[in-house]
Amino acid sequence: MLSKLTKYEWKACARACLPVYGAALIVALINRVLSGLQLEHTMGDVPMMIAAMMYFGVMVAVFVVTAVILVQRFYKSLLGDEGYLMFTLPATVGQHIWAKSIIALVMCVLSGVAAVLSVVILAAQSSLPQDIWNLFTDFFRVFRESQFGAVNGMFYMIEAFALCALCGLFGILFIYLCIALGHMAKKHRVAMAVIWYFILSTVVQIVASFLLFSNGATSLYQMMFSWVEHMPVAAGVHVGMLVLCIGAAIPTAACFLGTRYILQNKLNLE
Amino acid sequence: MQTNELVVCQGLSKSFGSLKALDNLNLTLERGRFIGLLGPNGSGKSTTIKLLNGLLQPTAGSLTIDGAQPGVHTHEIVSYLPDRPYLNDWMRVCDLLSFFSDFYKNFDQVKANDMLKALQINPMDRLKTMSKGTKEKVQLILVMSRKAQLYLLDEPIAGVDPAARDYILNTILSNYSEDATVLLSTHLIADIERVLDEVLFLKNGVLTLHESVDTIREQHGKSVDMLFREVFAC
Repeated sequence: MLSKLTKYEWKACARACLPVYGAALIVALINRVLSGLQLEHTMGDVPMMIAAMMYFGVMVAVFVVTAVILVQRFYKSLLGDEGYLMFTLPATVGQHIWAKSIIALVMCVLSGVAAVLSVVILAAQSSLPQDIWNLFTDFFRVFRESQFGAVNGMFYMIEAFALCALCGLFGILFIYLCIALGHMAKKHRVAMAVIWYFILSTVVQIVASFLLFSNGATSLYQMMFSWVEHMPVAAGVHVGMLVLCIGAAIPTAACFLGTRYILQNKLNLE
Repeated sequence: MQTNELVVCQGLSKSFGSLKALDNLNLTLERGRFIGLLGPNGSGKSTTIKLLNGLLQPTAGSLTIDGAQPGVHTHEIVSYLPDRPYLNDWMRVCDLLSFFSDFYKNFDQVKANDMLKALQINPMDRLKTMSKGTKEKVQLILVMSRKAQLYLLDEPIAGVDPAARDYILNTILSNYSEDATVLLSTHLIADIERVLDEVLFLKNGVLTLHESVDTIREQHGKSVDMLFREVFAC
């Protein structure tokens, strides 16, 4: 059932997001072509200025559309009229939340890829694409040829990707939790979701600062370094990465469970 | 083992703030019945249907469908038509057929296509290009093309013209199996009276009558429509 929900969610998001990502690449290409035509002698800087403004606009649109779709798909599809369809499908609430968060994460990654590709297109004749490529190959070579060996290097990368995915999921599920909490209000549910976002953001920042940077026994940062300082460096990095992954997984799980509890036990589609 | 009781509500209540939308509903619905859920605006009809679908959570009491609380099992056996457009406007009718076919094992795509053809609805049309009435027909076709045990139809004929009403009622009648139950809420009692086995009267969230149509005619000597007008006279 999760795969079916994910497929449907992909279709719904892709039809809104992919054209914007495609537009970003096309506008970048137009900019690239115009800069090669050297129109300054006949038409001045006007075509380039228009193209540059279009590029700026479409790049803003890439991130705005992604953020709006992320929020709108959860709110309208589960808590709006479409919820009458979604919540009467033979699927669990957890499956609905997973499907939405997985596709939202994919869309965030694709928006980043579109942005990077558009920059690469813009700078096609400079050394930038080669520099970016070199950066990637150097990054992987450092791990491959490091003193820790290729296997450790590969696991560092897996751990780094897992950490990025968990941080991304946390950001998405955090928004879902705020929307779900807002839905529990009798009136002004959207406004309440925004208020919950500010309240919980503040709480998360205070707790994170306290755990990471305070001095003494509560400092996770100090605790982690006291654990790993006597380990071999290769193992210490693994432990550090795993602790960070667990540190990201706990609030992610809390947001997921909170959202699921509210949609399971407090759902009121009035 | 399957019992004849399909829906059981015990002390079911739902409040919205200080407003009691449904008050202490005790109700048992059996299989194979065509039941009218009747009452004026704000009497708790849609609230009852939403509670049965798990779209609202009861303030008090409990309900089961086929022995289970609203959840994955009940969603498999209940086919629900809400009182509003609930499908994605950007989807084509054929996309919706695939969607229902994907999610519901009991969805009969051949039957759905036959009904679309009979109502001259093009499967390639998008919902957003359709009139309100045509959208309602599409929704009804999707809902009635499932071989469900319980059909919960919230105002299925309110938005369509009188000519289409007969077709829709015939569609409902000819597309549910004998052991399935249909619970249909409406104000248009005269249009559906001929097909009803039982009626439920709701007034201000309270169940005031649960009788078979035959009993009403014998004991009260009047039609359901006339009794309704009498009971709910302003």
